[in-house]
Amino acid sequence: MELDFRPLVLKWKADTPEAEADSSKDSCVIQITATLMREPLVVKSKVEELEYLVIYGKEGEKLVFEGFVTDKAVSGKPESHWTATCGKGEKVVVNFHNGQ
Amino acid sequence: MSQIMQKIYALFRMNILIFVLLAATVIALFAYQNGLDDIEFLNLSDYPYVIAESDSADGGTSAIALERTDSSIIVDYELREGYAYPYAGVKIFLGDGKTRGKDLSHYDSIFVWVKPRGEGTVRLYMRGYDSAFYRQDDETSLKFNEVEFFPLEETYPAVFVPQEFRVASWWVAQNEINVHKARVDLSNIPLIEIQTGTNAPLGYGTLEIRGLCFKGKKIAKVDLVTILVVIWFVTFFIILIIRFFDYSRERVANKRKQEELEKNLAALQIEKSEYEKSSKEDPLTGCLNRAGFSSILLREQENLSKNGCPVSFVMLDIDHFKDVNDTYGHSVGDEVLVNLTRLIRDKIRNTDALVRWGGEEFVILCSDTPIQNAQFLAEKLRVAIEGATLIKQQQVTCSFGIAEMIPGEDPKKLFERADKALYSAKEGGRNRVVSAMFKRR
Repeated sequence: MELDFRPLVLKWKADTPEAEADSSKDSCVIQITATLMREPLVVKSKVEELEYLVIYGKEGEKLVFEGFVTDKAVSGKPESHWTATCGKGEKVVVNFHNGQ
Repeated sequence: MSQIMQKIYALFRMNILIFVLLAATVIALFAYQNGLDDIEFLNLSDYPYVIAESDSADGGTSAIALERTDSSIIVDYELREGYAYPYAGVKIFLGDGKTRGKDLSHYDSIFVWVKPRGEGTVRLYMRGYDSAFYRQDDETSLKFNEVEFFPLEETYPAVFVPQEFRVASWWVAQNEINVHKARVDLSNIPLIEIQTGTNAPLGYGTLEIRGLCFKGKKIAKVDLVTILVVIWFVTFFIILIIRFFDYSRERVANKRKQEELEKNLAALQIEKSEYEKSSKEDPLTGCLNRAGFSSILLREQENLSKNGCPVSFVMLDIDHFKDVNDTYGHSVGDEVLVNLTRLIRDKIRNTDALVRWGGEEFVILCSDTPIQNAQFLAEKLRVAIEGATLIKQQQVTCSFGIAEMIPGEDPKKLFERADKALYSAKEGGRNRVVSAMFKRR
C-alpha cells in the first residue's frame, strides 16, 4: 500500500439559525470530518479533489447533515452524496447514497 | 614598574618584617655575646673606703698595718694567739656600709687580685644586707656570703661566679636562721671583706690586694630573651592584625567584584534572552519566525513519537495580498498583517504556535490536535477573517491548507502536503479550507 494525500474541502452551511446556534454543532462537524476522512469511499475515490457543500439543519433534538459534491462532473459517483445524523451520545454514521 | 614593585612588596611585606626581626634578633644575640659588657673595677689603691681589720675586734691580739701603693694596698699582719680563729684583712665599704650597698647580683663573675706573702687560704666575704636579719649598728648581722680560696702566686686574679659563694654556716648557726632562708644574696652588698683564711699560720704575713672587678652584662640574658620573645610575639600579633585587615579588605573587594560580575551576568542573560527572543520573533507581528518555529516543531514531533499526540499544521495565506500592497501601499499591507495576527491569536489556544512563514503566509502548529479539529479551527478562522474588518479599504480573506503530522515523517513532507492543500485552496477560488487527507492506492 502506497500512501499519498488528497485535498478534501468541506463547506458547511446551516439551513436555519437554530441549527447554526446548536451547541453540539461544532462537535458534530469535527466528528463528521473525521469520519469522512476515514471513509473508504472517500479515501479510495478517483476524484482528485473532493469538495463537498454540507447543509445541516435540526430534526428534533438531532442535527442532520447532507453533503453534495459541488463539481457536477462527478455528481454521479457513489461518494458524491451522503447524509449523516448527529445527536448527543450517538456515534456518527455517514451514509452514501450512490449518487441518487 | 611601580605596580610590579607594589605586587612584590605585597607578596613579601610580612616576610620582610620577619626577616628584619630575625636579623635584629641575631644582631642582639651577637651584641650580647660580644659586647654589652658591664664592667666595674674597684681599684683599692685609690679607693678611700678601705680599712684594715683584725681579730682584735673579737678579743684577739693579732696586729695589722695597711699601706697604699700606686697600684694596690698592702696589708702586713702578724697573727697571734688569743682569738680562737685569728685573722687579719681589710674591709671595703660600699654605700653606707650598713644598709645601703651595691647590687652585685647582675654580675656573673667577680675577679679578685690578691697576692699573698705567706701560706694559707684567703677568705672573701660579700656582706649582704637583709632586712630580716639586720640588727641596728650590728655589723655582724650582715650576711656572710663567703668564698675561701688559695690565691695564686702570679698576678692573675682569682675568678668567681656568684654560685660559688656560700653563706657561712657558723653565721647561720649563730643567728639561728632557717637554712632555707640563708641563701646567697648579692643584691645589696654594703661591705666586702678580704681576710686571711681558716687556720692561717700564726706569725707574719702580707696580703697585696690590687682590687676587685665585677663583670656582667648590661642586660641579663633572661631579660634579653624575654624582650626578644615579647618583640616576636608583638610582631606576630601585628602581622596577624594586618593579615586580618588585608583579608577583610580582600573579602570586601571580592564581594564587590562578585556582585559586579553577577550584575553583568544578569545583564548578559537579559540581553541574551532578548536577543534569543528577537531572533525567534517576527518584529512586525510578534509571531514566531521560522527559527522560533523549529524548536517547537521538534518538541511536537517528539510528543507525537512518544505519546502519540496528534499534531496538525494549518498553513494560511492572505488572498490577493499583493493587490492590497500595490493598491494601498505597504503600510496598509502591514496593517493587514498585524490585525490578522491579532485576530488569529484571539482564536487559537495558548498551546498553538502562530508563525509568520514569510510574506503574507502564516502557519499555525496545533499541538494535540487531529486534522479534523484543525480543519474545524481553520474553518472558524476563515469565517472570522471573512467577517472582520482588518482594514477599512476592503475585505480581506484567507485560504487555508491543513495537514496532520505522521510519526517519523520528514517535516518537509508535512509542509509540502500543507502547501499543496493551500495551493489547492487558492486554485479552488480562495477563501476556503482544504485538508490534505490520505489517499490509498
